[in-house]
Amino acid sequence: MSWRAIAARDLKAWVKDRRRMTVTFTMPVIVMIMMYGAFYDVNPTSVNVAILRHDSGSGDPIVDQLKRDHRVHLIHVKSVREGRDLVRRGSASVFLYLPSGFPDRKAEVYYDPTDPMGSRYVLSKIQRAWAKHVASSLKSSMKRLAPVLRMMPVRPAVHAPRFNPFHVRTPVKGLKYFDYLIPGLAVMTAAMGSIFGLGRLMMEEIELGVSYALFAAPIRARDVVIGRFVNMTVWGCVRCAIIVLVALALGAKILHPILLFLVGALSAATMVGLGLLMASLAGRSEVAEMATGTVTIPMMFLSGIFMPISVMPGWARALATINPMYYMGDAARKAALLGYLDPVDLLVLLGFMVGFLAAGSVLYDRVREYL
Amino acid sequence: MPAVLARDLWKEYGRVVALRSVDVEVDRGELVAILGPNGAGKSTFIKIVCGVTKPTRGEIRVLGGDPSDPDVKRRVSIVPQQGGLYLEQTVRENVRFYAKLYGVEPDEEPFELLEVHRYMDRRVEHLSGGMRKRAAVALALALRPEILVLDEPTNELDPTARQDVIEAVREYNESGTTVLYVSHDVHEVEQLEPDRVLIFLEGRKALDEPFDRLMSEHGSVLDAYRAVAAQVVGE
Ligand SMILES: Nc1ncnc2c1ncn2[C@@H]1O[C@H](COP(=O)(O)OP(=O)(O)O)[C@@H](O)[C@H]1O
Ligand SMILES: [Mg+2]
Repeated sequence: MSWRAIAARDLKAWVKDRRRMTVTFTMPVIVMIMMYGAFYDVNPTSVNVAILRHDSGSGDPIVDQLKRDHRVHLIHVKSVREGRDLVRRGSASVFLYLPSGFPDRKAEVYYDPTDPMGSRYVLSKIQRAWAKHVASSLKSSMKRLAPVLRMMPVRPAVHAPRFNPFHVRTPVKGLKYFDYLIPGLAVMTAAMGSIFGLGRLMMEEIELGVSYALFAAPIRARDVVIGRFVNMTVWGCVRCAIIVLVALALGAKILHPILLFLVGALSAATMVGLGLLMASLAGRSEVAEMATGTVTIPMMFLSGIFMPISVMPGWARALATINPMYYMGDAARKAALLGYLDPVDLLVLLGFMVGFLAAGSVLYDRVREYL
Repeated sequence: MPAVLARDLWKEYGRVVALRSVDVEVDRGELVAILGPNGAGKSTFIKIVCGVTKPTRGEIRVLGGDPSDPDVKRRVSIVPQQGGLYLEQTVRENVRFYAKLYGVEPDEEPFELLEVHRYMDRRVEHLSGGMRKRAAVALALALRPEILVLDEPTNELDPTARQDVIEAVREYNESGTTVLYVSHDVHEVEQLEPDRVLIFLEGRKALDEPFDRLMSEHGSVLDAYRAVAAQVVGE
């Protein structure tokens, strides 16, 4: 039971270390608030649209819609060239040219490819406004035709399909990007703290001769690994609990916070395993600490936590299948938003955890040769 | 049964050969000094005795058993070259921690003997190098070892502190503790007055003689050391 002594020491040391405690309690809050601020709403806050009208009012439905939108700022230009220039210089995300004879003559929508969020937002507004206009004018012409049709001896088979034959439904309505982001972010923040820090600790212990003393003590090297693992996992859980609470306070839609916490705890434990592995490598060379960062950053960005992997290229999706963070994010979203604990995700995470711990133990045991 | 028995001990780190066919026998209750320049293989030998690492070849028995066996380790305590204390904890907390790992009730006496008791509740990071070393030695003694191993324990100590450490070690040795005392300082070894002196040179045990005989033959440890070094260079 020597691992208990190790875990108890680490826990106490952590609690007493004011700097580490401050980080433990403030980091999750800061990260969440920053993310909330940055990603609460991914629609552009303000987007400039250059506009040139030669039409005779037929473009009104579109222009009225754009005028009503508080995110859109219209800039009237005098020529097509001026409009395009504004877009090329980045002063406007979209240039809309309505020629005379619109809609028989097509309008030009010239957009800035470097601002996909802004231009796509405007594009969808334009298309939706026009579709709405077309639908309602069809509807009213049908209505005007109705008495004529009723007088005809033989009714022609006029078959207008429904304008909107869809009930759009989802288990959870009204999710924003923030709500997509939060579950994955919660578990990631819980887990990240576990990866870093251990490597430094290991190098420090080697310098102080503590590692030496521990290898000379009547315990198994495994006990040191398990004790450390327990301590780090406890703090991962603390971080995760804080994050979930902050997210709830910020109004994130976490429908099943307890399930999310459970996934967070498992994720933290998994990454502790990776942290131990990296730390044992760091014990042998300082390069490993840097390597940890190099490994974890692509791991984060290819995890699907920030952006669904469905929008990523094939190779990135393939990488996701061997990325523990992908399973964390997936499990977290399913748990938080759908109340579903995906057994595949959880088993894979468990597998990673055991694998990391086993490899970490082996590597830690090798540190003795480098003392 | 000897306290330490090493036969034809080799340790290689890749191409570096740290120990070359070392034979050592230390009896129970003996106080043995291991002397040698930096890189002679002293620490490597100690690491094997403490079960921290295994030899590449050769036989090592400590208290009749395998030094990596926890039951053997429990009876051996070490003062590592760097001290082995956690900085952010007090001396007392360090003692409690290691006592738990060794499964012993710590002996209070060495802390009095080495005058560590006055700063038991101060964090190690706030202690001077000398105070830390005293604490580390007291801690090793507090674990009630049958064999005490010290790797250059007085490196950064002032003369009085060195004297105190040596006296404490001698006192415990007189009451039966076997001691392996590593040093690279000939004067320190003279001060220690061990039962036996081993001189390590380039991974070999170059000399193994009772202290008294060494002193009567050579007059001083320094002269003995010079004689041995000259011999090795001559070969
Ligand atoms: N972990 C290690 N890896 C590689 N070489 C080592 C290691 N430890 C010691 N050595 C080498 O073995 C030799 C003996 O070292 P050591 O036992 O520390 O000597 P001493 O304690 O007498 O100064 C030296 O050449 C040293 O560089
Ligand atoms: Mg040494």
